[in-house]
Amino acid sequence: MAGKIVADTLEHSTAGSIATNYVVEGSAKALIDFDGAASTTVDKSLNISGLVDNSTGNFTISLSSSFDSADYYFIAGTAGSEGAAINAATLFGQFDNSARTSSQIQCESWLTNTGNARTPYYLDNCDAVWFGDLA
Amino acid sequence: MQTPSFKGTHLFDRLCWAKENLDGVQSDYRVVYEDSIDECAKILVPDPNWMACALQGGILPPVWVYWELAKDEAQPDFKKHTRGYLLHQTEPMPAMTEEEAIEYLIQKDVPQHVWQNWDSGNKPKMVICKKQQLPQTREWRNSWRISDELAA
Repeated sequence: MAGKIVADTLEHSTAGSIATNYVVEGSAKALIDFDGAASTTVDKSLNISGLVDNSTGNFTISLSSSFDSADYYFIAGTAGSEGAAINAATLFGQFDNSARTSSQIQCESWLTNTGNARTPYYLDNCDAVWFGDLA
Repeated sequence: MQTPSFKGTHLFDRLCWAKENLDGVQSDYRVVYEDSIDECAKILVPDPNWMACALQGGILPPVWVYWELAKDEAQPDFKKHTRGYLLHQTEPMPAMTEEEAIEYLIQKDVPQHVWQNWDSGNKPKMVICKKQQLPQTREWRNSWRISDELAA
């Protein structure tokens, strides 16, 4: 690709310097923003190949460019509007660690009521970010 | 837009180029499959940026690359991928039609035991359909099954 800069360190005039490996290794390697309610569609993404709707609120997300192992950072959250409508907290996160590979992860979205009962539920705004080293 | 010559370029860099330069393509296709008799039907939704890459050509690696990496990862002594270069060094796939892209995605993201034997048994284990053919509400989602009427 054109416009390539090769550098090991970035230095600011007053704020100091940082090794570029922190920049490269510290940037997100995959992103997804999807609507888990209604017709299940991916709204925004990077490095995602597909989304499997497994059952109520349960999804498997697949990556295009795999990580070097299943040992990566996965951060997920939701702002599903359903929770506010029925006075419950909404959660979205990893579901089953045994299903986690370098290129797939299984997630679930839930509603949690005041008694802390957790119910799988379709939420309309699920987001996730991956960090780590790619293969 | 012409795809740059990407052979040897890290796949992630190609995907970043595509994200910057290609409009996402929301496919109407869905893949419905059953991989266990105890579970409801699952529905594969293609990612719009991935679909744009498939239609553009010159970005995605051949699907066998993913099978090779999956084989490595299934080894009991697997620690880290050592053949990630297959993703980056292998000649990228040419432009695909939307239908070819769905076939590729099935072979990448659906369990092999499903797509290799999709038509064995009493009824199909996998169906490609349009999203309009799916139930329009999520009622009884955990009871959804591929219709027995498709067995004919």
